[in-house]
Amino acid sequence: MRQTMMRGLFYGLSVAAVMMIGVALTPPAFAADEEPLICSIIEARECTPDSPCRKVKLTDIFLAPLVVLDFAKKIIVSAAMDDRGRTEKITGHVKTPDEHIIYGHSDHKAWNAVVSRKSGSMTANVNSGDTNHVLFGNCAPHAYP
Amino acid sequence: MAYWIEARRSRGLNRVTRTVLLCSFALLVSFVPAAAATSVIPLSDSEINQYVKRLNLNQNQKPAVTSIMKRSRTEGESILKKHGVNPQSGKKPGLFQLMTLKKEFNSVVQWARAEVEKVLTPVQLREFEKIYAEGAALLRQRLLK
Repeated sequence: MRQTMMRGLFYGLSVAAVMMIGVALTPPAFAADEEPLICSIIEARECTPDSPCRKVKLTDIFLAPLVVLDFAKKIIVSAAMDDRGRTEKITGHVKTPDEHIIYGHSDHKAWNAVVSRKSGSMTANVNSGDTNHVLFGNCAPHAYP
Repeated sequence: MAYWIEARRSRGLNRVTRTVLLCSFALLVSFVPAAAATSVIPLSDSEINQYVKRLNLNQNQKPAVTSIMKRSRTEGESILKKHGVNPQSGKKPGLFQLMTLKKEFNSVVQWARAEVEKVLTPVQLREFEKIYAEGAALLRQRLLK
């Protein structure tokens, strides 16, 4: 009886130790829950019902090439040299083991973005009824939150 | 003694007058940028006058080009209004608020270009293109500041 209890305790402690080592070895990159991410938007495409999607310059769509996803404050904020401090509210944030899924809306627009928690790659859509902008980029933890 | 008191009083009055004048000046100065910021479209009357000088227009061209520019300003302002851009609010536009702005502005610019082509010489048209490019940069700067 005592032997069985000891064996159970040993197994329990072993499992706990393995779990603790696992947690300790998790890469720190996307470990923190509410850590803000800084994302560079690499490419933008404009899609309309009349024509195939085409690449557009970020300056032509008044979009900053750098944005910060601040999950704690529930905002996306522009962080480029000449375009800083413009914000968009994050209405929803779902965190899966692999992705951050965020979405929101403003006057006449709905948007969503998926950021891989492993690779940092990002895709986003900004939909304004007659035009859909598709954005591609990469995110990393923000060093100076 | 009476002279001294009189001198003190007049010096005091001078100080009061100086303070009132300084305050009025400060108030005036603080209102000037607000008044200048009523329109972000770089087609104010004084800016149109500058463009007219740069284009070196003759007496026949001048009223036609001025009216095209003024109509472009009106159209542009209505587009900004539609997109909820209000420079007087002092609030920066949302991150995704201006994404379809340029597309709508392009239709006004295309119309203006077609109209000025009927009036301007090829040399003047080249100058018009320069003015347009500068205006677009200025508009971006004013919208994002």
